[in-house]
Amino acid sequence: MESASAEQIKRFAAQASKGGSAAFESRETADPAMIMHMLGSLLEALGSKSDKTPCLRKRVKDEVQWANSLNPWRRSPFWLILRVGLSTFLAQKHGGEKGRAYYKTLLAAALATFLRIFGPDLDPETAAFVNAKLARRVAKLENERTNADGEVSAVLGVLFGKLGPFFLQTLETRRKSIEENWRAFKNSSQVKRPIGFLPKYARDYETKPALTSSHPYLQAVMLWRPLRAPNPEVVQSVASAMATSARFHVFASGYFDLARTEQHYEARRRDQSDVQLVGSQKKNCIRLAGEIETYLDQVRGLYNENHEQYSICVLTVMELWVEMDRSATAEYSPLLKFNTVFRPESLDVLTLPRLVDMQRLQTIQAYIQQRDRKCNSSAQTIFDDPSPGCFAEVYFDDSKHSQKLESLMKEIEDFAQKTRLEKESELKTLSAEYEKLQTQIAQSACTYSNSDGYVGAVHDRKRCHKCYLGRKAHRLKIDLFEYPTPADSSEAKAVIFELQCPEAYAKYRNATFKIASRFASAHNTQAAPKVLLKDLFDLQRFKRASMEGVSLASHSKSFIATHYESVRLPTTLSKVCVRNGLKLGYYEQGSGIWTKDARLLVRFHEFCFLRIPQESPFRGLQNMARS
Amino acid sequence: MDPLLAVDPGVVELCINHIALPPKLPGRSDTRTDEVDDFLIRYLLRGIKSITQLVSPDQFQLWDKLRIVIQDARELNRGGIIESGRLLRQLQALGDGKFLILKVSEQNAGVLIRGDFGYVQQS
Repeated sequence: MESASAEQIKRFAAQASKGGSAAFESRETADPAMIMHMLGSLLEALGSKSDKTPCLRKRVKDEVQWANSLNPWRRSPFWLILRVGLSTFLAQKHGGEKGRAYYKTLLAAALATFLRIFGPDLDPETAAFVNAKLARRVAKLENERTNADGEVSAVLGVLFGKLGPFFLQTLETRRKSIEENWRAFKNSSQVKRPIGFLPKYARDYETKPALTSSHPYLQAVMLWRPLRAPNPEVVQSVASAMATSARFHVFASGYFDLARTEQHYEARRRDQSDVQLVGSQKKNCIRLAGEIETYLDQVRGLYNENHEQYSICVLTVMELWVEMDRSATAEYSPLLKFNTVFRPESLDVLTLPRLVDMQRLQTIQAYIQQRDRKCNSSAQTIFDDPSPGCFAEVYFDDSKHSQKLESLMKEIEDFAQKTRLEKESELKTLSAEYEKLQTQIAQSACTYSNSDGYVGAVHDRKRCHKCYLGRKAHRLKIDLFEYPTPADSSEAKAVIFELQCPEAYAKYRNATFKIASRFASAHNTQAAPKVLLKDLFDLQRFKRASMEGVSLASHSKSFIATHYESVRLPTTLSKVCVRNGLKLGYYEQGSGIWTKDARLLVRFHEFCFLRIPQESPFRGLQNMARS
Repeated sequence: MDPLLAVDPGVVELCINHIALPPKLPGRSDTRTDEVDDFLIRYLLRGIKSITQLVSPDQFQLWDKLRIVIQDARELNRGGIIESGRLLRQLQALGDGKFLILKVSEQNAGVLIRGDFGYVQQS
């Protein structure tokens, strides 16, 4: 019994499902199966079931209140046990009806005594509430006395004869006190506001307007004091030409710079034509990614009003992207198995006046189409969530970096194994200590001395050695260890790949997504991620890449960040070393967008339509022009 | 202040929550469970004292027996843990009409033991 009252048995404890495995849930109550079934069967075997025990029913109108804390408030179970115990005892001793009467009287008397002693210290709201409760109890007792038969009625009659005045006096005193309190409050200066009488006639000064603002001015007018004379000096001629050009200069320079950039890229493209790209593909890829990002930052919103300029912007960006994609696919051949996020027909909306621009557009569309064909119109892109067949997995299995990635995976596995062994031995040590403490507790006894029947034995918990040991055992806990990578092999490979992501690929991915998100007309509104992969503590030592821009993030919290972080003893190893609880997906940090729906979102038509001025009589055709 | 109910005012407030269930309950679990439990015992004991002070002497026996049950419950459950030494002593002294109330905290259960003509039964 002693250990049953002190030890948590995790098997009967409430469990919550987290990350696919069950975790001990401290917020729910435990299953009393140990006592009900185990102890019950034990005792039944040693003796036999009795018919003499009366069965009691108790209506429990208990509450569980929870506001933003670890564990909710529950009504004291000890209080429940006391009440059930006492009513059972009285029912067995005096029979059901009389027993109940005595029990109810006891509760009423206890409440009345409490109210007498502590009433003055309670705040009026609580005091009124408790007073009402006592009044209800006494009224119910009174009711029973009149309605019950013979013996019970007699018993209650006697009790009431003695206790009645006591109850009534308590209630009355409390009620008076509350009312007095209320009256004092009402009359106090905080609440009472004086309301003056309305005067029956106006005073002399009240009939004359004060004119606080206009008075000085009117006086000046009356005295004919002249106002400030006009300045006879000639206004200095400002170099107006320079001033206006300065303003215009600031406004126009943004556009001039952009035009220069666009012409530069167009000329470069023309001169290169179909010449094979020289130099390292990786360096090209990185350079072009930088150019795309700079150009997009330069454009900002400057072209939103003008659909022709907007189309040129899209054209320039897409040409750069095609070049970058060529380098990227040359460097990382698995990319060819995956589709781009662009569809050729989405570029049809561009409005380009020059023939040479139309030709440029055609080249771009042809390239995208060719890419689509090469991957057999696959629906998968590099931005989909980690799953079997995703880019990270393909790259992990079959590329020139496969070996490096595999060795990183092995490193992580070794680390996890080592930590698991450490946790195992830590658990062993702590469990041994716990067992030792428990045996010590079982062998020792509390120190206390006897006193009169009411005040009871004196026992100082802080000085008693046994209680100290009990507290020590209660405080023993162990931190959880969450496995660093997900159990699913494709997801694990994606994590490893991300940790050692090749720089050129990362820049290519970021630049492509920047284009996609920039020209997307709608963004999915999912919740922000609970944690980014790059922020996970256990993986910090394995980070070999910068992990900025597009990277992995989790929809769910890791075990360590929740309140499941550490667990009290006694416990088992399987509860301490848990599976990885992350739900991963690709996420762009700058814009806060999950990337998996990228392919569906890219449309260019947001600003690519003719705008008809407000005053024009053709305003009604705007909707048609838009679609 | 009555000596039996001498206690920290914070504990009194916590106990009112359990006894009367006022409208505004705290949203978190109590931390001072042992003090609260002990106060609840003394609350009942003080109630019995009031009754015994007012009723006629022939009723005295009845209420005193009740006091003993509550007193025993207090000893057995001190500190929220059932101490095997104490329980053993009480079981050995389990005569006719004795009644023990036990709270098994971590198992979320309670056990009542009644002495009846020397037989121990469980409910």
